[in-house]
Amino acid sequence: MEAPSEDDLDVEANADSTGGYTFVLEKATLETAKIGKGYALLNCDDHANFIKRHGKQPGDYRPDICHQALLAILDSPLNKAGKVRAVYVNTQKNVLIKISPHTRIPRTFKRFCGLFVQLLQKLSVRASNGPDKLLKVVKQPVTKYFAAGARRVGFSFSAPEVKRMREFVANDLKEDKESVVFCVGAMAHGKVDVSWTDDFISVSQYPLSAACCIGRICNALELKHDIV
Amino acid sequence: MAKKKKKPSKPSNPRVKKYKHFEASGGGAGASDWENNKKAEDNASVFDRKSSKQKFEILGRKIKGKSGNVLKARREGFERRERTLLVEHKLSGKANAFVDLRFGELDNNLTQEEKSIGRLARARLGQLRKKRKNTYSLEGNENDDDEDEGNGDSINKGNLMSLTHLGKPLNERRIANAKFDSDSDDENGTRRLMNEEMTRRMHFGGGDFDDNKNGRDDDDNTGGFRRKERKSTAEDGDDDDDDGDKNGDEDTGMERRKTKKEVMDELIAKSKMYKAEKAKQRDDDEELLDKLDADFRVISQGGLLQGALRKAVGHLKPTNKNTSLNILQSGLPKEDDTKSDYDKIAKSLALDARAHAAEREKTSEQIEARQKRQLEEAERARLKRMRGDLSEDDEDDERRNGEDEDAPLGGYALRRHKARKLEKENGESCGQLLTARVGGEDLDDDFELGEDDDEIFEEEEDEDEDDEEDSDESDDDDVDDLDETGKFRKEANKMDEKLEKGKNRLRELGILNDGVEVKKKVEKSAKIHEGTGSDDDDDDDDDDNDDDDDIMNREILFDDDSKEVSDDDDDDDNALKKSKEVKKKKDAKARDDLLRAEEAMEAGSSEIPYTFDVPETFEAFETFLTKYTSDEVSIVLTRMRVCNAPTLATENRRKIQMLLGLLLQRFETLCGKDNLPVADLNVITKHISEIATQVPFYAATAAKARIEKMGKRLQKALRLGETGLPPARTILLLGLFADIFSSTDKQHAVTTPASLYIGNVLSHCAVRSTNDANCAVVLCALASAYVVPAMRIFPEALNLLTAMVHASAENEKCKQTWNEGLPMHLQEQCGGSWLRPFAHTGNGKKSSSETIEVLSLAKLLSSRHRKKTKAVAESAAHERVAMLRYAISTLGNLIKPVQKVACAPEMLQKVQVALNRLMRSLKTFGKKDGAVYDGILKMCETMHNEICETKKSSVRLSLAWHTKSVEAIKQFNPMYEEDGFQKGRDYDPNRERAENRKLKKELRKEARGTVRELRKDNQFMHHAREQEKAAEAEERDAKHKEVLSFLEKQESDFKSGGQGGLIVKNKRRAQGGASKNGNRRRF
Repeated sequence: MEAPSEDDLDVEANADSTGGYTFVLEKATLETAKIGKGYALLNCDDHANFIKRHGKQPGDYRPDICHQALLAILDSPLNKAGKVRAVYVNTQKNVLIKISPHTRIPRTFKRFCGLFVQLLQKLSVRASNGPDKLLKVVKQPVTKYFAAGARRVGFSFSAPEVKRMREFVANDLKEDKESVVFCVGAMAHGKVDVSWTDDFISVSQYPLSAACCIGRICNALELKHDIV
Repeated sequence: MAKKKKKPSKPSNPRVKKYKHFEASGGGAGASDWENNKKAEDNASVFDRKSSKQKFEILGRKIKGKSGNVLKARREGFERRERTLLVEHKLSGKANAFVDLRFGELDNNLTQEEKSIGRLARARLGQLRKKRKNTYSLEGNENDDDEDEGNGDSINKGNLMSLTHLGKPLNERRIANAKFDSDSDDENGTRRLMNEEMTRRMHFGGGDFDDNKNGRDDDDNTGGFRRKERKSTAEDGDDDDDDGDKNGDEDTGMERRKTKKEVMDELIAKSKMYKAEKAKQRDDDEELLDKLDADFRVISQGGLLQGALRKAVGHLKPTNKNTSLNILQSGLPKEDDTKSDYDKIAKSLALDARAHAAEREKTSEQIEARQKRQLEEAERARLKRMRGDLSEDDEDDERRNGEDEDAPLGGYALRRHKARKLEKENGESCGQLLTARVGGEDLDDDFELGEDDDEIFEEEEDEDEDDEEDSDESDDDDVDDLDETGKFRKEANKMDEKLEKGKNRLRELGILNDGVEVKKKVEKSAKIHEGTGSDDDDDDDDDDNDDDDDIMNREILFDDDSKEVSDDDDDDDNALKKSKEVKKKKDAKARDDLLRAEEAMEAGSSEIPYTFDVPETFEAFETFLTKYTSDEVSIVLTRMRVCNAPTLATENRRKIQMLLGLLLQRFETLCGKDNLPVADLNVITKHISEIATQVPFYAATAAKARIEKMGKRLQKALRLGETGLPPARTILLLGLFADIFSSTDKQHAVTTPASLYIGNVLSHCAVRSTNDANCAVVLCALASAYVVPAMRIFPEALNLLTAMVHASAENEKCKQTWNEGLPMHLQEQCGGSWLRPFAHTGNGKKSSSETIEVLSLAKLLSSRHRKKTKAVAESAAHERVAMLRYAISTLGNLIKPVQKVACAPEMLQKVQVALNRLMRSLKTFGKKDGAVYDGILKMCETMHNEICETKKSSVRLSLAWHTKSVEAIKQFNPMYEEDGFQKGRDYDPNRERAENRKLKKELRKEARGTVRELRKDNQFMHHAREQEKAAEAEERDAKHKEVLSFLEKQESDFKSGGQGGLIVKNKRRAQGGASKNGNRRRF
């Protein structure tokens, strides 16, 4: 009989607090590499040659997408109003990161890289002016952190039906008491294929960037909750 | 060794687990590394290979000891222990150790033959060493070296350490050097010495060189000395250190080596070099000098040098003024062809006068003081003229004064002055020079005279004065005020002209019989000026001469017609005639004086005095000013202000203040008149506003007092039930204040109460007649002047004016009554449609050509108090139209600041309604009449449009309850290293603690390593001891068996009765026993 781990305790705590929206960024390309003496978060602009040397596609390494998406979520009025429960980032290397909604993500990309390099080595990052761990590498799978019975919505351009987000929020998410999980891809190419989603929808006729998609989601939810 | 031990692995990364795995195909991650190591450990079996699988791959990271050959590592460890631990173990418990020093005994690579050769060589060397008596002798060493070389024994060579340079033994170089030296045989030792020094300094390892020298110059004294010396030092040293010592010796010896000869040579060489250099320098200098001479010749031929010299030596001023010009003219054209533009410019610049500092600018006080002094002087002159006493003394005095100013104080300047005078006297006959000389000062007068030649003669006929006096006066003035303001001088000149003209007139009329033709008069007078000018310069001694000159001049004036005086030669004649005509002239002079005095008296009394005092009372002021016309009043006031400038004396401030009070009072009285004296008012206004800037505080106080009085008057009038609209005086005063004081201040001692007063009037005074309406409109305009520049709103004016425009739209055709839509209080205040335009009935011809007249304020204000007459009524029509236009333009002014305000739409609502009504009303007029009102209509339309625009552009936010700002969730900054986090580095800010931790970590690591090593050593030792034990046991067993077998043999021998050896069966055993006997013996 094993003692319950910290993560399990976390899960229980989350399960207790009902409500709040959870965002999952899938397939984020957050990968550290030892370049020269230090570690760096690989990105296609600065490390194209390095990536090529290791036989990888530079175009795949786009941590800026994740950065933008995180900014879009954590800076939205929806988050400021306390409606976001947590943000999970699942990287392509299968590292699951839990990000507290109280995190103030660095505004510049360079600092963001620094933060994630540290996170991926130390596995957790604390707040400089608070007691909590703001970012934390947690165990897979992500589903065990969802609230029980939460609606799970995946977003993809490849989804069969295009829905207006506002209508979707008004109609489909009416009875779900704010415990909804949104899954958005944070990768440059390809599509999200996760098995745990209930709905799989597209919010625009055009392929959208992750940040834009999140913007739409947040806007619709803000409208619903009358957050100005 | 068959036992397999698991190497304890230290986890360097939590996600990388090192473990030994047994399947070669299993290591996916470490495959490439394995490939690399494959060659080195080809022989290693897959079971001996170790690799660690990375759970989480990080690009570009290399982990130490990720894979390796376990067997190899283990074998290496074992061998190391065998080499160290085992040897120690074997030697433990032993007091001595046998060390094999035989040559090549430990080296397995050498063959037996090589070994033996080496041994032989060593043995021979040893013998030699023994043979040598003086072990440390260098010579012996040398010989030794030679021998070694001769033998060609490489090993020995290596041991004896010969020095090399650039991979060659120094001995070889020695030969090359010798060759070089032999080439320069013819030279003496100096060259060689230098060369040697050079090589010693530059080359590596000079030690060998000495040998060279010794070898070559064995006979040389110095060489011998050196050698001896070195020998003595070398004896102290060791054999091996010999070379090093030699080097050191050489270094110290180098200082000493500079022999006398060397030094002398050096000296000689240096002095030779200096000499050569000097000679060269001399040549160069000579060359340069020649060149300079040639250049100078060229320059001096040009004549420019003369000019330059003159400039340099200042007191040698050229006698001819045009010298510099001459130089230019003579010098430049010659060189035009040869010299470039640059040269020309350079020359002209050199000849230019240096810029000098300008005179200090005068302060206002100084200027005022000067002006006052001028006026006083003028007044004195005027009074003199008025009294008619034109004594010669005065003139002389003046002249002398002028001369004093002209003459230099002393020294060379004075001498030069005198010399010039002498020269002048000499050259008086040649008039040209004189003319050229004197011209400068009189230029002004001449110019003026020449210019005014054609002017029409003016009124002052009676003024006639002596030319000479005039010219003298003007001259003096000029001398005095050469640099002063031109105003006074001009005045004086003007007087001269007038006098001149008067005289001309007299001459024409035949009254003045001076015998000079009118036309030529001007010329002559100019010449006379010159004459007097020259007199000015004369010395004091020549008083008589001076008088004579005067007389002469006078003579010219009164000479007969036929005489031509313009000729210069005539001067001499005049001088001759002088004595003859003295008597005649004296008579004429007396007559002339009388005439002059009379004229001057008249002129002086009619002239405006130059100095004034400020009258004490208003009556006095009033009577004082009545004497003058409005233009003259301006002059009088200016002079009065100049004479009493507040900066000149302390009491003057009070006087000026009083003057301001008087002027204000006069302004009021003038305004009170029926017909406004506009010219007078203009003059006074100008002075009031100027004085107000001089005494601002007093001006403000006076203005404020007046405004207070106005307010009281208004109160009284309202209480009595009058309309209370102010009289023209008040309106003009208010206008004056608006001009004098700043109306844009937020708070001002005068303009604020003034605008309050206007506000009172406009909000309380009822309009009961057209005149009242006009007054109200003018007040509104004043109000706009007070507030619009500062973009403030004047609501009273806006309301009243709007109401009046509203009322003016009364029209039967549109069925608009005047008071429709007006609030009650404005209805009461307006009391009727006073500005209503009306169609001209009947007078068709008039209306067609009619345009709106420009209203005159003066007329308007003065007409207010007039009684209505028919004529007035007729003009009232135009007046009303003009008034309406005026009202609308004022309204346009007043709404400008309103448009900037947020509540503009509400405030302008009524204005818009009024304008709408008026436009509607105006449009009803027929075409003929409509033409008159076109202008007004257009103004209305533009204003209307503006208001509409304002309304459109104003954005209104609906009022909302103040909402409580929502609290955002608190966000925290993640704590991370901005300049790159590195795992394993201690980010503890406390350095000491971090250091401690690091040390502890190291200690732990070391301890762990030591324990590991010790454990392995133990295992090794255990194994070794076991082996030993096993060997011992085996030996013991063997011995035991041997003994037993011996005993058995013995027993069997014994039993067989000594037949044991014969028995074939036991033969082997007996032999073995024999062989073992030797062994046993060893024990």
